[in-house]
Amino acid sequence: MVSRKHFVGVCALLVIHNAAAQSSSSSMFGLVTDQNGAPLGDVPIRAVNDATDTDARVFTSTSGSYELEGLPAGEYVVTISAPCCALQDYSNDSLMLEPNQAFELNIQLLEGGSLNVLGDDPGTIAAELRNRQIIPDLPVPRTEYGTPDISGIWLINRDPFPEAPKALPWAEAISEERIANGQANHPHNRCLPNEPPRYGGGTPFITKFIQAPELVVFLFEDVPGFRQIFLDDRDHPEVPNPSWMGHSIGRWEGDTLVVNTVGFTTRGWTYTYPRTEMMRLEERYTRVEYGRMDVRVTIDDPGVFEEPLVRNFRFDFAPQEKLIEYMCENNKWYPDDAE
Amino acid sequence: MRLGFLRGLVSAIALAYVAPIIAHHSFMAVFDPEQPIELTGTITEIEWMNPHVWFYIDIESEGSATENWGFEMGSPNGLIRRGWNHKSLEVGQVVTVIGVLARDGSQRGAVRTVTLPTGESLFGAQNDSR
Repeated sequence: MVSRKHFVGVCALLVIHNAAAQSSSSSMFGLVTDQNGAPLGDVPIRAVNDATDTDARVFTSTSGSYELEGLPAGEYVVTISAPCCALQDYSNDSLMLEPNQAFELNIQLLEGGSLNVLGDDPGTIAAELRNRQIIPDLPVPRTEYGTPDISGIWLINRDPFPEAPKALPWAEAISEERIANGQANHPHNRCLPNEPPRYGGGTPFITKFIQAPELVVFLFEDVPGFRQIFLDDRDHPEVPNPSWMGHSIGRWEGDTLVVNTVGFTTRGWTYTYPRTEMMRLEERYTRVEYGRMDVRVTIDDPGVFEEPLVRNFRFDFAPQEKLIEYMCENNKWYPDDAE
Repeated sequence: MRLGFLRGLVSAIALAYVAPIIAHHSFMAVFDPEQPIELTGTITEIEWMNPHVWFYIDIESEGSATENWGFEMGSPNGLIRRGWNHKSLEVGQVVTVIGVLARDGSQRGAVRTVTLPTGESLFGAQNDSR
């Protein structure tokens, strides 16, 4: 077995759709630190210029440095969706890049909502777990019935470059109110599930996948504990019982497990947004290498969003970890649990 | 160094633009980072349970009644993964807690560090993991 630490390079993904008309001679570079000045590695930075269809993305190095080269001149929106939740997000709505300019942008991220409380921060604990895994240098394992095998313990990480949801005005107003209230009434604060695909298995907790030919089971540490995806060609019930996990059916499309879910209760939150009975979910699971799975999630709720909300997740294989029981039995801040 | 083209270098120390807290975690909704606190006292009770570990300390001060303070940490699951367990703290131990106060004015806080009189810190990451 070969020990391979998780490596984050500084290779930038630069997407320019209109390159022929632009000179791509500018760049952006700098250091990302926390509010104490300590450098932050593995932080995602995105620079977008709509006029040139530029969408540049990079992760900071272990020393906190980053560089985005080959950018067309213009006005950029620079954002950091920091790994939740020790750090606040960052947004600069109007950074002007002149032609042939190298713009030094050093960013200091403020403390986030977890307040660095001991043992609490999902991103911090995820990094600790990720970095101690021993991942064999092997190809993606396959089942005897010919599909990839996605069984095992996985760390569910958040999308580092989340697209901003395009919500209908009523839903956006609710989201803003919830954010202004510090998300105090988020279901998870009342021992109820998070949004897909995390539910109860996002870091700092873990999820165990158990795969059989006709069924995949997710075991979450946190509520609700389990989720079933039926692969036996059944249909959804005609009248699904509204539930927190919904009713999931799946199929293999080549090496990708495609899952469709309907029947969500409207009591759940989609991030900070509300839900309607129209919500449908598609997940696409592809184990791209032994230690990593790419998961593309599409939340289609036309009662809430103008267009389907798409998020891209990376799951890390975590064979060194084990499930630990979680009973939400001592919730001191919301003891009544009444909605 | 970059060669081959003119370069205008503009240095901008950009302090973080305070974006809305999209993150779900609600410690900030309940505790106030603008009210740091440091207290030393004797452990009276430990609640090693989910969703969050709590422990309580008695604080003696001369001339006043003993105060009992409660402190909240993360889930036992994360602490166990860091190598700690339900016996890492014991009733009767003296600890120094650095944290932030509850917004509601109660004698409660959220924990940033827990230190023994020896200087040993508890519940943090025990391995070099970054």
